[in-house]
Amino acid sequence: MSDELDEIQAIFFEECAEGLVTAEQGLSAMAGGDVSADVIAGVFRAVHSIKGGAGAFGHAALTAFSHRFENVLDEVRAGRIAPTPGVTAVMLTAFDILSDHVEASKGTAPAPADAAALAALDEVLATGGAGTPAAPVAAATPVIEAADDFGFTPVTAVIDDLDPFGFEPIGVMLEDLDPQPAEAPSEVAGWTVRFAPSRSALANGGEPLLVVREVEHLGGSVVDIDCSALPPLRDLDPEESYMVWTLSAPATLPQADIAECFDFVSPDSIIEITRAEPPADTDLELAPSSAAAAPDPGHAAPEPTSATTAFSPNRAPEPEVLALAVVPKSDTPRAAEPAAQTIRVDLTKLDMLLNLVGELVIRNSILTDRLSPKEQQRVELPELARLTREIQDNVMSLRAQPIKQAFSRVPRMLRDLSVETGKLVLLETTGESTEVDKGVIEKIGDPLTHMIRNAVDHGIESPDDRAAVGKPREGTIRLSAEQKSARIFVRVSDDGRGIDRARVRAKAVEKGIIPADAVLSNEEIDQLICAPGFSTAESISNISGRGVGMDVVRSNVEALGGRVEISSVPGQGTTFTMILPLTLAILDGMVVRLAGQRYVLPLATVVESVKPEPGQVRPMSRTTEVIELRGNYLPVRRLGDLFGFGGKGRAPEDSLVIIVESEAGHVGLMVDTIEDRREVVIKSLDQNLHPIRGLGGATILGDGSIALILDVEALVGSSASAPQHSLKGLAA
Amino acid sequence: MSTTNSPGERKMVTFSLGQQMFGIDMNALIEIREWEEPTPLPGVAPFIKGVTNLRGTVIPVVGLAERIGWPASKIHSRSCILVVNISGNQCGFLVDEVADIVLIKDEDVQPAPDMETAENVIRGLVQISTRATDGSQGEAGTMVSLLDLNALSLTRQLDFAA
Amino acid sequence: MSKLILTVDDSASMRMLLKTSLSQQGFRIEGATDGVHGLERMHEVNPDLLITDINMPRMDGFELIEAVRALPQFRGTPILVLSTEFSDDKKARARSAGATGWITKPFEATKLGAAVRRVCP
Repeated sequence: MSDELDEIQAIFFEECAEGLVTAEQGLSAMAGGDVSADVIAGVFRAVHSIKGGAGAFGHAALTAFSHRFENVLDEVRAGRIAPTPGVTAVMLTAFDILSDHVEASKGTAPAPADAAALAALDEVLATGGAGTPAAPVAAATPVIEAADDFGFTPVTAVIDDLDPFGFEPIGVMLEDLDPQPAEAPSEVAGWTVRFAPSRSALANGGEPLLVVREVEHLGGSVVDIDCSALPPLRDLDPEESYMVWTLSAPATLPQADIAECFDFVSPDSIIEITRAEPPADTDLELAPSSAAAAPDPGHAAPEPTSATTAFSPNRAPEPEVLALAVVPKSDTPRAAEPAAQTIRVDLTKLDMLLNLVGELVIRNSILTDRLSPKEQQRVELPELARLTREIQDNVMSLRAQPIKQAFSRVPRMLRDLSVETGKLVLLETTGESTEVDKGVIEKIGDPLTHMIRNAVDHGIESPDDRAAVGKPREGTIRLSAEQKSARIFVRVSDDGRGIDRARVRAKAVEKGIIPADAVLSNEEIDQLICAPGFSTAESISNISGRGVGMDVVRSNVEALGGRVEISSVPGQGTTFTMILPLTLAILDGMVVRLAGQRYVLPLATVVESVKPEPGQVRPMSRTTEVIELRGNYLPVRRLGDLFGFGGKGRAPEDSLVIIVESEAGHVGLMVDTIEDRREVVIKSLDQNLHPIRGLGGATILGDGSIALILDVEALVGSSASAPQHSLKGLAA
Repeated sequence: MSTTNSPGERKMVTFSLGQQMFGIDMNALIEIREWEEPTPLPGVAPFIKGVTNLRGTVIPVVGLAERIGWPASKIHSRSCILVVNISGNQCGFLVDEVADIVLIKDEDVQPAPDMETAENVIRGLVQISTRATDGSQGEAGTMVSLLDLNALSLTRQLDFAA
Repeated sequence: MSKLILTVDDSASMRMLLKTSLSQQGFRIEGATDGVHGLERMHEVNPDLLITDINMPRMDGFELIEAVRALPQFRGTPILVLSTEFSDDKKARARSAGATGWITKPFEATKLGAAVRRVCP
């Protein structure tokens, strides 16, 4: 039971995370001027759902805060408060606190100080909603009262119910409880209820008889049924109500409980709940039972008069019992901790599953290789292959998540950084829906944080400095993600001052990272930023000048099998690009052969293949060749040369040139032959080796042998840039 | 085969490279497999022979002799690959011949003399009595160099600008 | 055969909570993620009771109820609305849309059970 609830709670927290992302996107859109009804409704719904779930799981602080936040959103949604920049700013702050409350509910952070945010929300309600009657009053009410107004009292009882012990016994109790009118104390007169359902009580699938039964369940009984209004059968309107019941109910029942039975049928039905003697007696009557329950408040009380005792934990009308029930739960986030762990366990299992599925895919291709097409049909191999692929797709999709989860912390961070540094920063985000393996998302959080901090701290200038050079006072940070073949490119660009290469160089010399007489290209100087222990901050700032920073980015990204590229234009800004593998992914690839080995080219990069005529490929210099293609000359690279396999390359006319697309434009890659086109499972090389530039991983072919997967971008790029990068794998 | 030892004792797999015996901790050994030509990798150090398929995982194969600065092993019928686990990463080492599994006491291990070499991959030295294959008692015994697997890791953090 | 309830809520945790709670009380539960999905599922599962959230993407709870009530075969199907608060206004709105009753979130297992049995024995 408890496990089940923990699991549901874990799902709730995932929903919170999604809700927060939605809310933040909506609020950001609002801040950017998009105040369309859809956007506002989206934010409202997200906060509303968080509130609903928070209540169900007994997170009182989260419930209370989201409730107050929702009040404002509701007014904005209804058009009673205009979403001015000021109001939106208050809501953004409230959003940050809401995120903190969610963390606190998980037990991963202390409860945030929310007084200021609440005051700001209330201020908005009070001033912005001045023309509306009820709203400001509700908002100005302290939390507790507001909670009462909206029927939050049940929260406490729910907490009890959600306790591992709660659900079952209580559910069973009500079911099994026989109506025991005989046991109702007879000293005090019982309740009398007169019930004349209206026509509308029968509409909408209503059934008054069930209400009567519910009263019976509570210990009541039918005293009289008045059928005098019943017409002759032929005149009977089946949708009309003709009966009037008179019921009796035990004196010990609170009136509210009886009234609640009639909740659904109350509009314009006649419901009169009366008792012979003044109701004051009831309270006196209830007192002993509440006292009996008090010594052992968390559990059903021992055994006095059975009817009363059995009900008391459900009813929970006694304040002292309520209070005791709340306290232990509200400061014990214990339910949250196992919930978080469940996800971790799941991932391990997913990994195992994914590996097994990978094996299955490989086994499938082995069978395909070994069996003739006829045999394949006979053993229904195609069907097996289809199933395998479906399993694989499903398992993969379990792990793939939109990268916006990793991006979701950024706006908050920027707001904080903005306050800390006094710099003004706008954020532009693209490609958030790019799907990446969950493992990658989890691991790029830190590098991303460092990159953003670095951009604000070192890139973006102060508003005055920017104004002085004719830039807008607000700096812009562009955050983007895109998938290109087997790689994910995550870029952080700023429009700041760019890398001060002279200073970087001087610092690197001073720190002994490079010799004073080193001859370095601009790109190489830029790379120094990622050197361990390098920091250019003039003074150690709060933010990124701690000597850890970009070197952490580099090592984290490389540990993921990726790399970091830096480009910078003085005065115009800097772009950091994390190029990450889509680990655990499937790649649509072209298998090519070269010098006896097989390689896989991501099909997405392949434009066409050309069988060169003699003379179509010609040397341009001692080391470069071009191919003439429909009047254009494209550079040609020999894979053998790029990989340093040496000179035994074939003549161009005995080879194939595969035209690939890269950031550098179209480039021809010369290989021996094309062997196959197939989907391959990408196996990471980086787990056991340093990343090798030019390779995106490896795959296992049907015969069990390994083919290396080419990273076209790096391969084509690497020949143009510094060659030492290609020797990364060397130094182990 | 139990891999847990009494305190102060450990099981080692011994093997030869050329004339010299080496040992690695049994706990790190995943499996011993026959030599099979690995898939060569571009742009890597010559001692990395390539990668091979270990039940669906792509693992590097390292020529251990070259790795520790000796002439490359010649492949012959008893050449084999020791697949080991180095702090979570798997790696295959090409060795000339697997000799034995021996139980050694920690107290019998001498620290390796400081040899002024660029990097020390030898964790210690130990004398073991040769198991008699011809019936005669092991004589003076054989010196076995215990390898420090962590020093052989392929994924150690590199110095930038190295 | 125990009664079948279709729960429509965009929050998976809320659906699971309903499912856990009600299945322990002997009901069979099906779920749907929003109004549009709920309407589709109504046809597929033909439940004895529909429980729906109000605030949902695509089609909200009131719209769903109106759409369901417009279909003759569901005219008598009881429908409960879930929400965090029910002012008299909101109750009236729910009734006029065609709801049989309402359940306040968060709900107690017993109150939920009682509310359900009040419309679906």
